Amino acid sequence: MVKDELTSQVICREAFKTELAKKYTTFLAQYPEIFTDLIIGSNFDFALYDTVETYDKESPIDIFNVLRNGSGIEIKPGRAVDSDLELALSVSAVKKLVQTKTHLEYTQLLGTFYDEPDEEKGWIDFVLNKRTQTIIDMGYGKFAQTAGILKDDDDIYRM
Amino acid sequence: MAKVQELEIKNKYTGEVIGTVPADTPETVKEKIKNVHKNQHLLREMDFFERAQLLSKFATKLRFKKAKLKDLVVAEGGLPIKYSEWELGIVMNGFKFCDWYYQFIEDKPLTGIEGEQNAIIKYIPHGLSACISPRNTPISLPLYQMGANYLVGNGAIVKPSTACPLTMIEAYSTMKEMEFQGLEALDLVIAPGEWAVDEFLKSNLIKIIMTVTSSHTAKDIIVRYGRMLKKTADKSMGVTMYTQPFKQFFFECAGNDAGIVMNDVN
Repeated sequence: MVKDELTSQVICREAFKTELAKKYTTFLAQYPEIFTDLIIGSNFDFALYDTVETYDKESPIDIFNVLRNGSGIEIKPGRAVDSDLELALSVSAVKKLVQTKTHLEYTQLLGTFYDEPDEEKGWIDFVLNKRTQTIIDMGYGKFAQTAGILKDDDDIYRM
Repeated sequence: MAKVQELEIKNKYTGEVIGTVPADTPETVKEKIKNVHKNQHLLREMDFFERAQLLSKFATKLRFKKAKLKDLVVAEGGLPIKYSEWELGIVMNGFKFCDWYYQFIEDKPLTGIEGEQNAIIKYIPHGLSACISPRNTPISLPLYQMGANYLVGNGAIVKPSTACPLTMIEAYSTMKEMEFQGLEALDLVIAPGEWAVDEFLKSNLIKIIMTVTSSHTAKDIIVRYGRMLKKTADKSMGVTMYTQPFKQFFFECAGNDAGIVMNDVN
């Protein structure tokens, strides 16, 4: 079965607070296939933090949300209304992620930032805003695997 | 008052001393049991999902310390690197997604013979848990024991193996650094020998004994408990009456013993 190609749209680009968020959203728009496994209507936040302390204080320097719609993804500035989860990324991680040349290189690097977080080199984390089972049912488990964050044998798949 | 003993924890590969830890005494163990019991109410001031979220945040803190924890597990546990990565991975992911366990303790309607649902099964925290973990899992089992009790609202005293207590001490310190809510209802006991288990068995404040040990150790614990109960028996009415509340025991028995299945088991 051939999968339809997903489209991506970045909306209100001028409303992003930082150049880095603009770059990252442009970068993500190249790879809508990362979001294939999410059900239509999934909506989650990407939040950029400059330090672990600002992450603890829930004070990102910029934030945007990705909506999985019927044709692909829509990227908009600001938090989603009733966001499913927040993917938190350090500024240092995002600077390196936008330099990657392929989808595979991106996912491998993202996985490294999750597996071996480092305050200087880069880190990512996520915060669920809905129950784990709901998140799995929405396709986020497979999304995390495709995105390089969780591996095949991680516990979430055995649940 | 018993003299404080300093325990030397060695790197199991090289023999070098990698840390020293003051061991608890019977007095400090009794004090910890009392304090944790007194502070259990702090856990019930939060609901399950609030506690789950806090454990999820703690999982993040652990992940940021992964390199240090991994080195400790390898050194004090004498365990392979891949094994220590696995051990850390399961506890971090387990805590990150621990709200998943709510399905096992949420209220459930009780269906009668004729299909009526006039009653609800509610799960309530049982009380203070004393937990004992083995030397081949320096972090996953003791931390699971602590986390599982915290999640359901039980206070917990965890006694990691004195061969490898440093990893669990580091994890507990991380909870202190992040001012983990309800931490006063959790504590560690570092105590060599069997006397600590006797303190747990004797204490009326401890309702649950949770152990992961060899089969022989588990059997020994239950035999000692039986002897303790016998000493409290009151025969003044001509019938043996046990006067102490029964504790709940959760044993994981590791060993080569054959299992005995009683003939009335369903």
